[in-house]
Amino acid sequence: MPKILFVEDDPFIAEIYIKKFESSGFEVKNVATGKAVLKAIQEEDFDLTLLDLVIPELSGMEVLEQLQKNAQDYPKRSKVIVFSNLSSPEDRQRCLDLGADGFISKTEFSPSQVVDEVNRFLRQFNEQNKNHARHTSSENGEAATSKNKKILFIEDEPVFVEMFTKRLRDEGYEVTAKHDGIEGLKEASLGGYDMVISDIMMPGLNGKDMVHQLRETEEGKNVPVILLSASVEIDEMEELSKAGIANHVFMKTQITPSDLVYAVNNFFAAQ
Amino acid sequence: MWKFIYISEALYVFLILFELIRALLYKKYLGRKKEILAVCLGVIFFLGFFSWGNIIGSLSSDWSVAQYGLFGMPIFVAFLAYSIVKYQILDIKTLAVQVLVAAITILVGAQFFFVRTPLNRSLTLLTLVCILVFGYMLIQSVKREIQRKEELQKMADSLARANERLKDLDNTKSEFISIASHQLRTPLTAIKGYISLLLEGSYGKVPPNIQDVMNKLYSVNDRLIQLVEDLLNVSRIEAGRIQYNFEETQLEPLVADLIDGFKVAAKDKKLTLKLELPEHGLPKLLVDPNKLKEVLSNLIDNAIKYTKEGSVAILLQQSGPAIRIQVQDTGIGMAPENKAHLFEKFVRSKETSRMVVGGAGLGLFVGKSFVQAMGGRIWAESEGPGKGSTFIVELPLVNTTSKAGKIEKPK
Repeated sequence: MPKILFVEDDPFIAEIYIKKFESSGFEVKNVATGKAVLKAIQEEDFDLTLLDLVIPELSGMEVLEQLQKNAQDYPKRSKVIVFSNLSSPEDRQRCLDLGADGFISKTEFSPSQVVDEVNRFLRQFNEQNKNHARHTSSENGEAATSKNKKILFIEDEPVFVEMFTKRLRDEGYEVTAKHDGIEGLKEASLGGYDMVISDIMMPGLNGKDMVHQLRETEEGKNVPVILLSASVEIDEMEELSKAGIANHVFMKTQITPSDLVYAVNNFFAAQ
Repeated sequence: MWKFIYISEALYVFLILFELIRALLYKKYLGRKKEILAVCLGVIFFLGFFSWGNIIGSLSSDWSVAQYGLFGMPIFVAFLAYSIVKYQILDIKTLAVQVLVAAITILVGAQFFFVRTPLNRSLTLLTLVCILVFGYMLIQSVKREIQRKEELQKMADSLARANERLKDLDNTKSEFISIASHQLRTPLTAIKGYISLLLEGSYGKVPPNIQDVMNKLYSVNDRLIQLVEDLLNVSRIEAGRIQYNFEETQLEPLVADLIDGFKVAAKDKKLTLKLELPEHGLPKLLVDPNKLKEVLSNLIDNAIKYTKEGSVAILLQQSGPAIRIQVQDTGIGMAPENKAHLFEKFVRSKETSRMVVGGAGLGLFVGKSFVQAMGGRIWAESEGPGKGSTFIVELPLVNTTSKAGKIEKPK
C-alpha cells in the first residue's frame, strides 16, 4: 500500500482528498504546517509527499529549501510533488532547483484525477529506479535478468512494435514480433510461446479472427492472449474477455508501455 | 344556315392552324411545341372529320354520311388524353373552369336566338358580354393560382432536396469525425507511450527540468486523447451506438459525491458551492448513474468555469411527476438568442469564448442526448448576459422509455 504525506491546511479540502486517496488504497498522513512536514519526513517513510506551497509557519518553498540544505538530516526524504497552483515558469523553475520532483496543478485536476496523477508519478519514480539499476548493471556487463518467458507480439504499426517490444524486452521478456494477422497466426500455431499479444485492427486477418482461428489449433488452444486496440468499443472488449477469447483487452490510448508490462507481469505472477 | 356553319368551321380550322404556326415560330413557347402540336392537330383532325361528314352529307343529300363525322371525336379525345398524360398539358382545374364558362356562354348565347324583343336581345347580349368578360377573368385568375401553386411546389421540392443534402452532409461529417478520430489515436498513443518511456528513464536519465516539460507534454497529450474520445462519442451518439446501463439510483448521494469533486475548484475561485436537498428523501429513479454524473458534472464544471464571483448552487427537488436538478450560478449568463442553440454540437456562446479557451462545445450536446435517453429533458434559463444562468435537468419519476439493464438507445 503506497503511503503518502499530504500537506494541506484547509481541513475540508484535506478531507476530500484523503477520502479519495484512501478509497484508492493509499495510506495518507495529513499535516497542515511547514514544520510538521519536515518533522514527518524526518520520522517516517513515505512513498511520496504532496506539498502545498501556501501553508502556515514555513512556506512550501522554504520546506523544499530546508530539505535540500540539510539533506543529511532527512535520509528518509521521499519524492516531493508540488501540489499547488503554480502558474509562473519562474516559480516552477525555483521549485525544481530546490529539488521538487514534479508538479500537480490543484485547479487543473479534480480530486480523482489527482489520485491518478499520483499513481502515475509513483510508477514513474519506481521505473526510474529500475531503469537506473538496469543501465548501471548493463554497463558492468551484466544482461538484464531474463524471465524465461517468450512473448509473440503481433502488430502492423511499426511504431507500436518498437515501443511496446522495447519495454517488454527491457523487462526481460523474449519477444518475437510479427506484422500481420496471417503471419502471426502461423507463428503462434507453431507453439512455444508463453503469451500472445495482438493488435485487433490489422490488414489481412484481424486480431479477433486470428485468435478464434488460433484457438482451433493444438498449440494455440490455451496460450494466454492479450488484445490491444485503438478503436474497439468498451462493450466489445468486455465481450471478448468474457468469451475467454482473450485474457485482457486494452485500449491503446489508455495505456503506456509500462501498463502493458505490469499486466503481463501480473498475469505471470498469478500463474 | 349550313353554309354559315361550314364557313365558321373552316374559319376555326384556319384559326387553329394560324395559332399552331404562330406557336411553333415564337420562342415564347419553346419547349412546349410538342404539346401544342398534339392538341392543335387533334382539334383540326376532329373538326376536319366532323365537318367533312356534314359537307359531303349536305352536298350529296345522303345524311347518313354525316354521322361518320362523329368518329372524329375519339381521335380528338385520343390526342387530348395523350397530351394530358404525356405533357400534363391541361390541368383539370383550368379545364373545368373553361368548360363551365363555355357552357354558360353557349347557354346564354342560345337564348339569343330564342328571345324576340329588342330589349330582351340587348339584355341577353349584355349578359353574354358580361359572362365572356368575367369568364375570361375567372379563367386567368385560376391559371395564375395554379401557376403560383406550381411555383410553391417547385420551391418545396427544392427545399426538400436541400434538406436531404444537408442530412447527407451531416452524416458524412460524423463519419469523417469517426474515421479521423481512429486515425488520430495511433500517433497520440505513440506520443503517450514514448513520453512515458522517456520519463521512466528507459532511454537514460532525464534531468528534472526536462522531466517537468515532458510531464506537461504528457498531460497535454492526454487532453488531446480525451478530446478525440469526446468527438468519437458525438459520432457514436449520432449513429445511435451508445449503450446505457439503467439502474435504480438514489440521487442525493450521487449529487453530493459529485459536488465533493468540485469543492477545491470552487474554493480556489472563492465561490460558494451549495447543495440544497429537499426535506424528504427523494424516490429512486431508473437512470444510468454514470451518464447522469457526466451530465451533471459538466453542468457544475461549466457553472464554476463561467462564474467570476458569487455562488454556484445545486438544487434537488421534486416537481410534480418529475425530479428537478438545478445548477444555478451567478456567472456570465447568456443572451436569449443563445439559449436555443446552446445544446447543439460545437456551439459556444460569445460570452464563453471570451472567458475560457478550453472546451470544444460538446458537453451540452452530449448532455442533452443522455438526458433525453433517460426520458428527461434539459434546458437553460437566464435573465441575460451577466445575470447568471440556471441549467435544469428534469427526470421523470417513472421512466417509461427504459427498463433496468443494458440497452442500446437509438438517437
